Amino acid sequence: MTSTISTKPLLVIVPAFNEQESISQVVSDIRAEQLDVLVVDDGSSDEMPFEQKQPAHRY
Amino acid sequence: MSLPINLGVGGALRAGFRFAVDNNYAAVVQVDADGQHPVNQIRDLVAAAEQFNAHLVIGSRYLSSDSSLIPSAPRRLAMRILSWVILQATGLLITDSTSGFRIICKPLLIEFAREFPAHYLGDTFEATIGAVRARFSVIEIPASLSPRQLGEPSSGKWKSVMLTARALIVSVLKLSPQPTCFNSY
Repeated sequence: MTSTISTKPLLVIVPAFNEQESISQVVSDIRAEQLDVLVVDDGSSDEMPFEQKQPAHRY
Repeated sequence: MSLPINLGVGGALRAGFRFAVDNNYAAVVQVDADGQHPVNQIRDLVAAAEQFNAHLVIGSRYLSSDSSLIPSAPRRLAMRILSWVILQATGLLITDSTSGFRIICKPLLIEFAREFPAHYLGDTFEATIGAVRARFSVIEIPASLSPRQLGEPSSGKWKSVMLTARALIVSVLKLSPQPTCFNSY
């Protein structure tokens, strides 16, 4: 059930496609809330920040 | 995480859901990359999920008096039609079925990681219907939405309306007496 969510890990997922202008600020805002964040770069053709460009390995 | 090809929002989310399940996250929050969603209201989604034992909590701009974004008339009409379809399909009133600001909790998260619509509006409108019909708990809370500050929207106003109409027709045709997208919970 969901009664103890706040004591378990919470992941913020940000799907992104060609959002180089805004993604850094969004990630920064989420990290400021002390939350885990996963950016899923959906095959962008723009210049996403390097740290968001890690390969998806098994996914 | 970087996908080698463009899968659409639904495909990107499904990859994220699988990552979350494999790494034992209890819940995930979706946030759009354009900066419109109120990150400081993520805690409100978590609190609502806990208070109401909800598996899916949707942040609705139409329930919020703080939202500074006024949707266009065609978009408001599309939202009303989508709400009506969901009401007929599930008996549940959802005012902002296309909102991408939502929390998904286990066990619904596991179902979404296993199977999740990848086409236009599948990740929001159709996934919401599937969750309700599979007897997961779905609620809405107010959430403010700001106008886009940077970048360009993925589709224009009228293109969005046309895509919405197409998705609506496809979804209605797919509706069946029993849910087929997810296992019952």
